[in-house]
Amino acid sequence: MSQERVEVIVVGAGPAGVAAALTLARAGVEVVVLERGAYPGAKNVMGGILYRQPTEELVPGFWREAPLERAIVEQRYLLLTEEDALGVTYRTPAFGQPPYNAFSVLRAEWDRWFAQQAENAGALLATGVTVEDVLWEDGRIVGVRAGEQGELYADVVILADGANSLLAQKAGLTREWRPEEQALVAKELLRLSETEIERRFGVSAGHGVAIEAFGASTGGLLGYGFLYTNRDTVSVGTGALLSDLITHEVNVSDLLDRFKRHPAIAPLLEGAELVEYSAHLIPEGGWRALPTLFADGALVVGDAAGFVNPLSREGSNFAMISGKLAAETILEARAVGDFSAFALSRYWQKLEESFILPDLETIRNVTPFVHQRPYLLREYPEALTRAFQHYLTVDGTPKAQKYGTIIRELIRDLRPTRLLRDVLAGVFQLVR
Amino acid sequence: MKIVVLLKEVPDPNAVRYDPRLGDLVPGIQRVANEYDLYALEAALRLREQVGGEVIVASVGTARDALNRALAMGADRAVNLEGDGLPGDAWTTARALVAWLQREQPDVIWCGQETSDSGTGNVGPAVAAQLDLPLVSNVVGWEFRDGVFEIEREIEDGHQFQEVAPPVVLCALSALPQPRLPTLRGIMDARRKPVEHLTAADLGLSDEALQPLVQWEGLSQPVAKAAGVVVQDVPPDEAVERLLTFLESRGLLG
Repeated sequence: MSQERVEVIVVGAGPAGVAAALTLARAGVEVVVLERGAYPGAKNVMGGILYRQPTEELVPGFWREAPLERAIVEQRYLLLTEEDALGVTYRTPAFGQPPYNAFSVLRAEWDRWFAQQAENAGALLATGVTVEDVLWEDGRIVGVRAGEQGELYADVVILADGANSLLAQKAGLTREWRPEEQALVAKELLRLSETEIERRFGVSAGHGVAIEAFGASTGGLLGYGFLYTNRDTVSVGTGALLSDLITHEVNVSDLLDRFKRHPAIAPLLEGAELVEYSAHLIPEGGWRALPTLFADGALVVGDAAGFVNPLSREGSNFAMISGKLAAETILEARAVGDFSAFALSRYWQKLEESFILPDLETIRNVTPFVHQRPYLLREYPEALTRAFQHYLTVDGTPKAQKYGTIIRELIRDLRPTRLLRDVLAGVFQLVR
Repeated sequence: MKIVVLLKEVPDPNAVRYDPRLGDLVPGIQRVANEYDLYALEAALRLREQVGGEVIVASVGTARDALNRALAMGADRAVNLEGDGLPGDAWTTARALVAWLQREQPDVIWCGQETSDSGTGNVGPAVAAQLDLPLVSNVVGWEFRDGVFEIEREIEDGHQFQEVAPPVVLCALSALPQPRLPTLRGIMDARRKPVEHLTAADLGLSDEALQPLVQWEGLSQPVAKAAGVVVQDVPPDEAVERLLTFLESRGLLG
């Protein structure tokens, strides 16, 4: 039987795979996207923030027609203790008007729309296809096998099968992930009316808020909680490193319940009705856990490659841009008819010239840094909220005496030499 | 043998949610092929494998993805009847299908017993009636031997066996063999298979012919039932005691 062939196979119809397929299809390459779910987005979980600039690199002006929920005009960062919250808020009307900065999206809808753009450009999307392994020939990857659904051959296979890429493992491009390299995120979608969201979060129609919380939101584990406003739903979730969840015997859905009950969060969600619950792995191994990104006949993109910035909570833009760069690499390789690892190594160069590898390198020590200092997410929030409580409580104490107490307590709790060392170490990590 | 399969695209039953404010399903639910229809298609493909011929899938209303899936599973060609007045209700759907079926003159028409969205189960029987063909519903098993179908159908309190010769309309239940997964080859081949798009006008149907008989008045949610009394986490003796007390209080113990 003759081989069924296309030029490029993309495994996975998430943002990375679709971005690659879209770029290739536009250049006239015969590309097939194989998706395990019944439709793109069926298997995806994303907090739900989509950045405008990287998305426009793929679909200019997408925000005029794509299914977007709200333009994010306000970002809140919260440090939480058991009951208290201390926060920083940034809000600007500039983010609420064209060209915007970021949007909340519902992944199922966004992914379908995005995949539709690739289909319109000529890519073939095949859903309900579970790729089980790559096919080898003379040490080159030459296609994929999808169990009883058969085999398909191609010049290049793009592995875009998401976090914990089994395909990259089977292809020998990455080792098995370690629990400290993956975060487990639980997320709920809760329904509130549009007007209620606008009232509770103080935004006008079409505008929304993103909240990121640290500290007690994850019970002091290295993790975070988030809350994003959609049109008439709210996405709320918590995530923590798998290794921490295991060591502390904490269930991620209990973390989420605790976060939702926090006095600073609960009123925002009161009366909201549960629409959907999901949980997903997020690769946070970053720089240290990078797989082999290119091989003879194969490239790895998006979550499968661990392209996530756990510090700034970016993932989908890394995914889309890495997909685009992989596609551009293939276009160059195609021009000279060479799909060897050597030709595809241009992908690494392109990733280095973009923000992707530099960002991963910048934050490569952040997770270990915070992990070595568990007090960052436990003691600091306690000390700081206590200081604010004293400062704001009017109780007849002369101010000079009050300030003195606050300073003394802060010095006691924050231990300035340790703090100074941490700040310097932290700054040194991030700025070069 | 010319085999037609009637296929409908429905909102994904796993994703269907009711929006009380809209009084309708939440918008944007992914559409998929109706499950029973895929069982019908599988039966049709097996029949073709046995006797040769052609499998044509037909759908009324938007059905791009469902028809693509059918072609990837192995159907030879697809027909999509779309446009003003379509799909309408089960009656107009059947009307449009009949106008097209009269041109095709198939030997066997397979369809799902009912669809997961409207669930009327009317289209198959209406098509059979308008074409004056025999119909066998609730098909859970079949064999084709010496030009005759030996059919096993599920009825209220058992199974019934019937023989029927084509042309015939057969309505499938999911006790039939599972629909096959499309192969990668099938998916690639599907791109090269013809999909014909026809409107009511193409079929010579007037607006009057497509007047629906059913007016949908919208959806509502059934009132939730009270949970009742739940006795749990108590020792068996006490549980029995409580149950008896409860039944007694309702005058149910004579």
